[in-house]
Amino acid sequence: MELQDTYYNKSEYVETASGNKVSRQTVLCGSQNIVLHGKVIVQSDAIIRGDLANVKTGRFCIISKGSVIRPPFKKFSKGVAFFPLQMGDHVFVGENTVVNAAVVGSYVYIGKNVVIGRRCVLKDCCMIEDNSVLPAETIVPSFARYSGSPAHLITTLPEAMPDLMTEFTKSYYQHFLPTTA
Amino acid sequence: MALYEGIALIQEKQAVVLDLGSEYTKFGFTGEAAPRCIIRSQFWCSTERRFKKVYEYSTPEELYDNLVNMLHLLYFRHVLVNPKERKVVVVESLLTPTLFRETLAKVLFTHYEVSGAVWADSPRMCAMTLGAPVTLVVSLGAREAEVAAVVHSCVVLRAVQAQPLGAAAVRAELLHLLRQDCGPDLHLPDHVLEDITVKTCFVSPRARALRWQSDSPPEPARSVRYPLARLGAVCVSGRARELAAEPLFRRDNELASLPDIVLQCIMQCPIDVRRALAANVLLTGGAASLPGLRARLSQELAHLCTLPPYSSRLRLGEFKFHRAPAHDMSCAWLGGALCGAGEAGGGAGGGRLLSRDVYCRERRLRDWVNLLDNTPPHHPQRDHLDLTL
Amino acid sequence: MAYLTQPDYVRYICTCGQLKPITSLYFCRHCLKIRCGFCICHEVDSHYCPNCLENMPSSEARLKKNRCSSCFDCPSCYHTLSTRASLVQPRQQEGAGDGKVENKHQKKMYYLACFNCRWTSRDVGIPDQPVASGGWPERPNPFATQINQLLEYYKAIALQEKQEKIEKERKKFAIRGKYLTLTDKTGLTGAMARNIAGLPSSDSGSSSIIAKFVPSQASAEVEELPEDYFTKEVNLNQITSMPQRLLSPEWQPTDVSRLHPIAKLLSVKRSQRCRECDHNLTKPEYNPGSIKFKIELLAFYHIPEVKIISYEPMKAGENSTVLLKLSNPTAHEMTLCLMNPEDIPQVDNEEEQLENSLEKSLTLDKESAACKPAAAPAWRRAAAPCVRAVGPPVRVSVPQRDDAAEYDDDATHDANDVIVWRKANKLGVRLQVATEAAASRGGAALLALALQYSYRNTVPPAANAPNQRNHILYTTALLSLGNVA
Repeated sequence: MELQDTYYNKSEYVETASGNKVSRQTVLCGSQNIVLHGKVIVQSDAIIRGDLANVKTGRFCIISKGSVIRPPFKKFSKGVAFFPLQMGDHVFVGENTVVNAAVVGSYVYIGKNVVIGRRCVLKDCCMIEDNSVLPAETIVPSFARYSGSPAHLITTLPEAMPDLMTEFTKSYYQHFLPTTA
Repeated sequence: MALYEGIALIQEKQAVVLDLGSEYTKFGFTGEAAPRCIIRSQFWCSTERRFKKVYEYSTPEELYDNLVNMLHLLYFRHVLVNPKERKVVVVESLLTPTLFRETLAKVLFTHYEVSGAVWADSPRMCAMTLGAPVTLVVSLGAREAEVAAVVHSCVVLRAVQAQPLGAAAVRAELLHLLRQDCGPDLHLPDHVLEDITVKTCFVSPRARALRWQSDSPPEPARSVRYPLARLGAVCVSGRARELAAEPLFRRDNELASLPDIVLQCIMQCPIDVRRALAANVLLTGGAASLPGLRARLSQELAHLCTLPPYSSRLRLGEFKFHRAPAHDMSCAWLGGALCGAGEAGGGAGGGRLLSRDVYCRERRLRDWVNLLDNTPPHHPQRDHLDLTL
Repeated sequence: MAYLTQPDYVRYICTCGQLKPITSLYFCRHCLKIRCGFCICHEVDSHYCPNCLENMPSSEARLKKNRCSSCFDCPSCYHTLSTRASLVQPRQQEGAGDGKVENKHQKKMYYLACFNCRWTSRDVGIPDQPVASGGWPERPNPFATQINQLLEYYKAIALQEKQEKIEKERKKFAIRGKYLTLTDKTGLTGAMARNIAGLPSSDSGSSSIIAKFVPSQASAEVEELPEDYFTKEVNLNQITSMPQRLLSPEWQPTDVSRLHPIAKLLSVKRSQRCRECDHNLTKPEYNPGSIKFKIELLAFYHIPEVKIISYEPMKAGENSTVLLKLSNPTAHEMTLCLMNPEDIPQVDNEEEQLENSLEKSLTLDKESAACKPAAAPAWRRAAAPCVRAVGPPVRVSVPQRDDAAEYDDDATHDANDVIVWRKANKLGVRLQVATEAAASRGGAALLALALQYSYRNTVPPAANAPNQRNHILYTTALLSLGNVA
């Protein structure tokens, strides 16, 4: 099925020169540490914790409603240190999902109500299904489809995953339209 | 890398052993002591978006698809070898439906292009793990209990017995008992019932089991609170824990309980091996690992021998039990691995190996029920049989 | 993406008869046919560990039983274990038996911990390791000696049988003597078939292995339930579940205290091959972290993609309109024609067959036609389409894929009653369909749509083959349009 249009209130969203659409109803802590690389959508009630460490996303990422992007920490004998969170291009983060990963590759689909534990590494082209929990320090290989709590490999993804994700995020961006147009 | 591949080509590739049970599948290499994997016989069905069991089929085509998917999972996810040009030892029950056997052969030879396959029946394979010349194999599978006498590596076919007294029967009884305790609306998925059985159930000795039927039941064992995923917990009473396996020993006029079919199998065997069979019992299969089952079976057999119709026809002496060098569930698989190492792996082409070329030419499998395969070569009727070929 | 999260609304019919979404189809450029995972040949390309993403040569993988030497899974919840370091001070070491540590002042010791269920290797008494990766104790199979003995025994028997057979053959043709053993190698009659194994050595007893073999001894003593079994409290947390046991098929521990870390199972990269022409359809790059392919002949890149934009409810015996999106993934302009499946001309493939037979006789035809995977023409039985396109076939031309086109302006809207809009290599099409009058209410409304498309072959032709580059190809797609209202 072709994606349907999603409408947003034009007054609610800020559109930057690089095409990022960021809702005003978000919590972007430490915004100087947050880099959105262009055509990224951050929907309402999302939280990005740039105050903890750098957060970088690639192009065409979608951060859905109520999701939390939070750099991971690691405990040392002398205290706690936070590590930057990197996200590749064409990443979809579903609603009410918490991402504590260290690295999220490109072409990654994360469903809704998912918890990605701290310091997880999601390689390029993987998919975490809705309502999954990925325990801390998990490494998800490419073309893997994870599901469950704790999430484990269910099946593999088609080879065309990069193109599918590219098409999906691009058309999502195109179908994300202001109501008062 | 090319060099290694070259060496691998010269050497005979290690054959794989497949035991496709109705609940669990055992898969591994010949010559190894244990299967590489024991997994549920199910695969992720992407069209239906759920795990689908291999035995869930209504048409031959569906079975074909199921087997293709299952073998793909086994080869590429667990054992990680190319199926092509590799031999397979298929361990199967003697009572496997013909459709299943033939579809499996079709899948192996035409879809996966294996170079050859040996069909090995499970009683013989179980007996091979012992090395004893005469064995009575009692295997309690997921669905059925099968009793077969193996005499010098030959199954006494007319004495084979089977009854639906496998793990499924125990689970059904457990659910029945739990419903008596917790109300009739109790619904438990199969894997939870399996877990309860594995963790809590046991088989009590005969004397104690008799007391359960009398007016003064014994003090039940401790009850267990079994937590459920989302629905709180279910209380597994001592009675349910103890009596769940009773259907295996419940006798009626049909004489179809587990000890009964063991004795019937012995009774139908040639008279000169009966004593040896009783002295070489091997209890295997996944359901056989219930604590106390072996002891109970031994007691029941000793008692039943004294009752008619057996008392007048059997003079057996003591029942002796073997211990296979494998876990109950993988016993038949281990036999296949041993058999394959002797034949498919090392031999230049053991007598029973069905090669791909031959299969493509004849398009049929040997089967013990088929007169073509079990008539001796010089039998006078033999010539009349070859019509189909 | 819809392909991953939604049911498959549009399914194509593969050459083998299977119904698959376009994402799981391949396109062989050499046979110009659609293939699917079902009718192609999968091969193991390279082994790698899905956790540390290290490649392992296949010979080493075979040696290590396809398991990674440095990554482990939790035996309790099957999640990956992490290595934790702890500083060990000599003073705190009390009778743990680690004598070496006491000499040094402070030392890092490592143990394995699960971040999901909090299981640690210390729980089951595995001593901490002085190195971060590897070095964890391996356990031998409890039955190893017995099984080796059995293996040797059966191999000896097989050998003896073979020798006896040779002996017998020799006796039969005594004149020709020993040279006859050659015939033995060429595969033999199944005369000895039945009783190869398990037969005790009757006569010669030449092999010492056979003579020395002791079969398993049966005993009348069977382990009874322990006395306290009926009064003992059951602690469910101390008993392993079935999946936990089966995770280590060699040991199958019943007690939680016997669980050991499980070495991580390797994964493989697969390459896929067309069964008919033996050309590769996909071949991944060697590097485990890479998502690129050396060869990637996916249907997604070669055949027109059909997507449903919207449709009117289907009513039995009535016409309705369906809006479809067609896209051309290739680098050449494509003419597309939508029609009914029965309009596909029956290809007169006499010529093709001739070619095939020639080819086959050259490659020593091992696989007769019967040996091909069973073509499953079952799709019609499984899914009877009750909706069909009406009116004249829709013929459109779709421009080639152009990556720069995304920066173009909005879609152009044609004033055509067939083409709704055009945008780069995609266009929206309005299609009139009719539902069969006999279609049952509530049944699935399936539309079978045949696609005729032009395809430019970019494979350099073989020297002797006719240089034909433009082809007209056909495929059929099955569209689910909800239920018949």
